[in-house]
Amino acid sequence: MDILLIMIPGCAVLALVMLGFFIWATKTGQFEDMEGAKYRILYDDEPNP
Amino acid sequence: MNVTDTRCFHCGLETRNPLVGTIDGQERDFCCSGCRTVCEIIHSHGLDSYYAKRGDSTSGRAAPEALEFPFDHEDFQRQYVQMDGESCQVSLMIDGIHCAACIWLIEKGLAQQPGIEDVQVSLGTQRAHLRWDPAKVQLSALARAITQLGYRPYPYDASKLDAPLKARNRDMLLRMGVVGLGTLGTMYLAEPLYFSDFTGDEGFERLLIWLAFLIATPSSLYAIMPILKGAWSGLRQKVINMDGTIALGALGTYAASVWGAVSGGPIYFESLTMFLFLILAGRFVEGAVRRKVFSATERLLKLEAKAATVIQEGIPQRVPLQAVRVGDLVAVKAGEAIPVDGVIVEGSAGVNEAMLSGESRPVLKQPGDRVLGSSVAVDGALVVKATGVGQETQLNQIVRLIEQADSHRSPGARRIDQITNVFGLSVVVVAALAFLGWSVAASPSHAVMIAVAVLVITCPCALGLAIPAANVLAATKGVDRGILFADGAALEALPGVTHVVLDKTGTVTTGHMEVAAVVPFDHAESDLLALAAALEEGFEHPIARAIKTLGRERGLALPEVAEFQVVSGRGVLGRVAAGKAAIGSQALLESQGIALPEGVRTSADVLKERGLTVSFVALDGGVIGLLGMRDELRSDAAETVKALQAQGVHVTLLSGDHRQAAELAGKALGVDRILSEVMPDEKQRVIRELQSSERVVVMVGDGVNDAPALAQADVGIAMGEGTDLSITSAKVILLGDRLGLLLCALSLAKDAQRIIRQNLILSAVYNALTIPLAVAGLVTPLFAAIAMPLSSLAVIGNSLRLTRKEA
Repeated sequence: MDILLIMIPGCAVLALVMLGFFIWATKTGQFEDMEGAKYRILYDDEPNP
Repeated sequence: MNVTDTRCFHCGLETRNPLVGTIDGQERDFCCSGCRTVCEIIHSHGLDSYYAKRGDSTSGRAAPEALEFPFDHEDFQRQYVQMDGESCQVSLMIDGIHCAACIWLIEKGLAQQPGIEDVQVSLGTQRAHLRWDPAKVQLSALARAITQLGYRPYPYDASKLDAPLKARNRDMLLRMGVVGLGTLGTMYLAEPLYFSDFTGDEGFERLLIWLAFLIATPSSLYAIMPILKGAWSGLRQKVINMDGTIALGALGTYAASVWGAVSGGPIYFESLTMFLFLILAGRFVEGAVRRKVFSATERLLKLEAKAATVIQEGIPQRVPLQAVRVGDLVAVKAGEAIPVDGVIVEGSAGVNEAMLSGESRPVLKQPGDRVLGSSVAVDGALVVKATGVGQETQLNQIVRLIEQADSHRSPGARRIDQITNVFGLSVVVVAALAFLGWSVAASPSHAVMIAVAVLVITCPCALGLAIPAANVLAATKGVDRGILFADGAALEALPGVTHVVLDKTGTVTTGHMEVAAVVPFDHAESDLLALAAALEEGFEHPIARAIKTLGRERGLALPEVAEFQVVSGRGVLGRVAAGKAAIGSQALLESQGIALPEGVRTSADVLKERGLTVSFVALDGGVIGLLGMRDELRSDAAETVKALQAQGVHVTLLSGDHRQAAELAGKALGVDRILSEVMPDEKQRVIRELQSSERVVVMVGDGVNDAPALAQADVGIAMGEGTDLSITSAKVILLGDRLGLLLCALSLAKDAQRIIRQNLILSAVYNALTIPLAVAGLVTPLFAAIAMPLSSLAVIGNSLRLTRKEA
């Protein structure tokens, strides 16, 4: 059971990282256009001169 | 773009890498293989005259307004463009986007412009966000580039229209995500608490409990803020609203869990976080749908895209509408909407005031006559001295009328408020009674536990989700079908409808004319039609279109016409091989000194009695025939009326037209009641009279004059092709040109109401089962942890059936 003393802080750190990532994603508008993104992979990108 | 552009032979689009095809022995350039194929098909059917006939499709008409919008005007720049260091930023609404390829085209097309720094186009909102260097390129050049790609940019003020909704959705998403993570954490911790044996390890048990407390407290607090705010504003009006019942349940659960953590009793942190997560998820989806509906409406309105041509010291200049002052001279081209109220200084034209009076035929206006903002100069150019701009225009007066009618709430919304109020109050009463009873029977401390258990288990999640879940899913499905529910109250009021009032022009009719009668005198019918079609060839008003369509259907060879002359609002003159020809109103013929024999007059009267608009055709000084034009009924109008009546709905046709026309249409549709010659301001009164006898009235219309009536009705429904004002005052908007969508909206609303009723029954059954258990003190933590999510999931699952049913 003592393993919990390592696992719990570890999980807490992971969760905080996830939280930070989620907040960053929301604030930078990653969830704004849920439709268009899936089509972008189909674009042929020509190297810009 | 430094390479010389060629134009596609078929569609006229500029193209840099033309595809060459051989048509009729000649080499032609095409933009794509699609156009080439179409051209080959046209050629193989011997229809080459199409290319000769269509002429240059852009000449003679006012060019698209967006092209000329004064994007570089300082008033515009101040309002829409944000400076960001060296570069400028602007949001534009783009008309014509329908797929991902459009996004690609615009982004790549603009990226090639010099001075452009960033382009982002969103498919969902159909908006482009541009950042560019003002030293290298002007916004008007970028707008022109977009227009050349085949799309139309409109100025769009993000900060005013969309930003608040966007910020709200983002905030809701953030709160939802945070409490979602909280749910994850607390559930991980709850699992060992429920299912493990901690004998000998009580220290770990306490650790897990307090960890759950640490996770649940901040995440729940963050999530519940907007709900507490809503509950507080309800309490100030002395009602327990939906937010109130949710807050009551959540706070009760939290209090019980904290007490449990302190005293070693049961904790419910995971139920609390999951409950808040579900509630917020519901609200987030609701907000997303609302934003979708809002932006679709906004696109229909092009709210901000208004510009005017002002003549300053003899030079015409395009300025934003906001920059027009009283006394300015405003130039209006043929086919353009008049942007201000004013007096004509120069020129004369037939002016269509359909947006204001509902009268579909143009009225001749000459110098000295008053014209109203948003009416359209159909066939002549005008110079108007502005007497009213902005706030003072006629349209704004109607807007104010709507705001008044809008201020009363729908009965459906009130009923929902009552349910939650009663529910909230009864929970408090039951908890209080349980507390009193157990204080007497046992100890007060035990009684507190029981009272809290009642608050916890009477899960308002079922109730909190019952209505929004069904409404949101119905609205989403509506958007897919082309029905915009701008107001959730419409879904609640629609199923109870007893009366449907249909406006005539543009609602049950297409607003496009059709030739219904041809009466030739001493000439073959085909000669008469050919002459009429030839005279109207170059014109685009409804009557001309009707005649041309018929001419095409009959495959008539049109005679050559010379010396065209348009008599504004009356008709057309010209010369053919057989002599001088004319088509138009009785007034036109009289002004040309053409005699109308008695026989012609009687025939014309017969046509008028049939509700038709009559055009006279004359050749060489004598009348050779009459054409009777009818505003075509929508193909599914009669069917829709019948279906409504089958559902026991009383259908009324309301029209500003003369009696014969209204009755003709009414009989064809089989409506129950026909009201004709109703003045615009009377429409609202008619609706109010119907409502005064306990009837639920749905009004369907599209004109500006319908707007007050739409706002007055329990549910106002606007046709998507309608005017800006009718769209803003309606609660439901039908996109496309099918009246049948009305039935679809009705059945969707009925489904939603049925699901809501089932949801409410589900949550009532749940509460009826669990409250007695809680009062009796039999609720174990495990039971609560299973029963509470189960009730929410049952409600959500039931609501999801809405999306599965094909309607």
